[in-house]
Parts: sequence; C-alpha cells; structure tokens
Amino acid sequence: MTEREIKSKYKLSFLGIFWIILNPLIQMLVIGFIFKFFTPIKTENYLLYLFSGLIVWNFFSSSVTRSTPAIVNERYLLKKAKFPREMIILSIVLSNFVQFLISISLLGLMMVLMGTKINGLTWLYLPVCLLLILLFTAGCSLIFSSFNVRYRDTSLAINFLVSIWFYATPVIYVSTMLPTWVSKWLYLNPLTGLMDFFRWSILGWQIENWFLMLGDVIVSLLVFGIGSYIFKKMSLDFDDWI
Amino acid sequence: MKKGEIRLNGVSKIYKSREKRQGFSALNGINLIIKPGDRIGLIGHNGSGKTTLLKIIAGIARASEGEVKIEGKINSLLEIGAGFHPDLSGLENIMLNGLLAGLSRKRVLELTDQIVEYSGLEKFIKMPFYTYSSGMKLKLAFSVAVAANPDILIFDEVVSMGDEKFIKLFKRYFVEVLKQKKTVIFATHVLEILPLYCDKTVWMEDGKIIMEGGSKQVIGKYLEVERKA
Repeated sequence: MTEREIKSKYKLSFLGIFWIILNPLIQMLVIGFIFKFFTPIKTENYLLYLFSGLIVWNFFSSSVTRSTPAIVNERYLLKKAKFPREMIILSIVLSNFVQFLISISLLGLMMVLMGTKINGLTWLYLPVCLLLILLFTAGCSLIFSSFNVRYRDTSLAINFLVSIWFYATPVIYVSTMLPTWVSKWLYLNPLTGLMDFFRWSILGWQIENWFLMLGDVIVSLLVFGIGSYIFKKMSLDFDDWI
Repeated sequence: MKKGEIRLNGVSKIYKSREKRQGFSALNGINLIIKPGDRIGLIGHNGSGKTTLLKIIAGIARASEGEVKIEGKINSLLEIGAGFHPDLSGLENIMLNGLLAGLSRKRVLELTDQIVEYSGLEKFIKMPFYTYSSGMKLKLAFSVAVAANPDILIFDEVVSMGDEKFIKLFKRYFVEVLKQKKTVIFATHVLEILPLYCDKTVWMEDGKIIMEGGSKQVIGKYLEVERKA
C-alpha cells in the first residue's frame, strides 16, 4: 500500500523522486533568504535549524492533510473490499515518512558540507525521536480521517488548523526568542516538544525545558493510542457514511 | 461450521441519517443459511437490499442487529475495476488487489505469472489500468479473484453493464469459477443466466427475503408478479 502510494504519486510526474528533495530545499532557500533580511534571528546555523524544522513540519502537515480526506476519497476501495481500514491512513503516513527519511539524509549531507560538529551520542536517540514523530502523526491522521467520514467539515477545518498550527510550532522561529510565558504555552502543541527532541538529537541543539519536552512525548504516545482506538471503533461503520 | 458456510440470523441493517432521527431500514430480519459449495442467485428490484446484504456478508458493512457467521475467506467482485488503482499498471494492480484479497506479498509474486497468463493480457500488463477496456478489467479482476482462492465468492451486478460480448466473456470465466466448487453468491438483473449457474435463488424485496428455492421456480414467480404489476 505504501509502495502504491509513493508510486502513484510520482509515477506520471516528470521529475519523479526529485520532488521529494526539491520541495523542502526550495522552501528552505526562500524562507532562509527572506529571513536573512527581515528578522533579527541571531542563531548560528539558522539554515540548518530552519531546514530541520521544515522537514519535520512537512512530514506532519502533508501526512495529516492528505490523510484527513483519504477515507472518503478511497471509497472506491472501502465500499468494495474488506481489509484493515487503517492501511489506507498508514500507507499515506508511511510513504510520507520515507520522504522524510530522504530529507533527513539530505540534512545530514548539508551538515557535512557546512562542517557542523556532529555530536555522536545524541544521534543514538534519533530513531526514538523519529518513532515518536511517526506515532504522533499517525495518531492525528487516524483521528482526523475517521471524524471526516462522519463530519465532512473536518477536512476543511484541518486545512485551516494546519495553517495556524505552523505558526504555533517553532519551525521558522526559535522558541527562546519569545517571552517565557508565551513559549511555555507552545508546549501545549506536542510538535514543539518533538521538534526540540529532533533538533537536539540531530543537531545537538539545547533543550530549554526537559520537563515540558517529556510531557509532549507522553502526549504524543497518548494521541497515537487514542487515535488507534477511535479509528478502530469508527471504522466498523465507515461504509454507512461514504 | 465448515469452510464456505454462511449463516445469517435475524440480520437487520439500519442506516442512520444526519437529518432524521429515525434511520432507514435497508434489511429487516434476514435469515439465511448457505452451505459450502452452494451457488445462490440473488434477485430483487433496485433498492430491495441485495447490495446491503452482500456487503454484510463480505464484511464491508456491519449489521445493526442479528448474527452473522461466516467461515472461510471471501472475495467480492462488487464492481469491475473496484480495488484497482487507475494510475498503476496491470502488474502493480495484481499486487495491490492480491494484497487486498488477503494474500501475502510473496504469494502474490508466486501467482503473478499464472494470473497474467489466465487473464490473457500479457501485451497490456505494463500499461496503466485506466487504459484498459471493461473487458480487460473484467479479465484481470477475475484472474486475481480466482487465484486468491477464496472459499466464498460474491458477485454484484457485474454483468449488467456489459454488452453481449462482455457477458459471453463473463460466462466463460464464471464457468471456470464454478468448477472449483466454491460457495458463490450472484446478484443480478440478468435473469436468463441465473438458472444456468445457480441451483438456488433468493428473491428480496424491501429488505426482506420473500421467496427462496429452486432458481427456475423463484424466477418464474418473480416474472409472474412482474407481469401483473
């Protein structure tokens, strides 16, 4: 299913797999260029900071926005064949995850080219961090997609929510730039903690508040657990609503 | 229960709607026993509940009330081209459809040559599925369904939209399937072909079974009522 997802997405396109690499790269260059002039972000290696944030964000947002209407879009399969319904959502998330991994290797390449010091030990946590990002994204996707079957407004709301979510996540800015009382609230969004974790493990970036970060880790696991449960329950009646 | 057996006990299906509090009742207290190897025809007017019944048997929809007991692997051909992806090639679709039918990746790879040969689509197997004609889609769908080796096969209105050549092709493949002694449920409006292949026919109306028995008798009665109306 994942293979189908990747293949069908890029098969008929001309540049094929290059889009996976081009997309975050161009985004990074454009945002990086603009921010160089307009905002006083005083961090070394802002480009790496930005790129690492963007690839996590891209993985999350494209998985969620593609998954949310997926059950309804794939009615031609759902109404005709019996198979575990979560396969549809997981195949979308996993195919995006493969792209995410490609982007990460690109990030690694950039780090080597820019001569960043690689902190060997934190790298060991990278798989754990990736797993958490994957589980949180899958959890959200499962929840939103199952709600969208019954309430079609969900996919419209999610498009809107994702565009706001972007600003509530430290992708282009650094959370320590904000007043503390604001940055604390940011951790209500589990992506903030996961983003910290990701940058810590891959770039060796400092984690300001371990307590809040670990809180987000627990919330992410909960989201996945609850998401799987809701989806499993609601999927029994998907056929009635599509 | 033996493989290929189906038992429905007091099965009802109510579709809830967003607007009305009272749902729409599509099936109403269906009792049906199908034995392994039975070939059952299913007739009734549009909206009589045939498709809902087949969906419940296939495990796609859930019964609101009653008991559904099914033993064995089911494959359903509810529409030609369902379960195939238009952008993928025939070959890739064999994998997709095979996985959906519950086969392992390895098993599909083993069966692929056999499926391609059986479908007779060697020349076109690398072309995207959307370029296929209805006949070619039928060939491929049938070939995968047969190779998946299910215990129960369900057909819903697969022949209704085809022309004569298509129906001929369908019959050819269908006879092959019947040779394998599977449990077959076949819903259709093309009444002439039912007695040829199905020993028993079930007639549904308004979500209920109003008659079941030998195909010739049931269809005879159906046509009689039809003529009077």
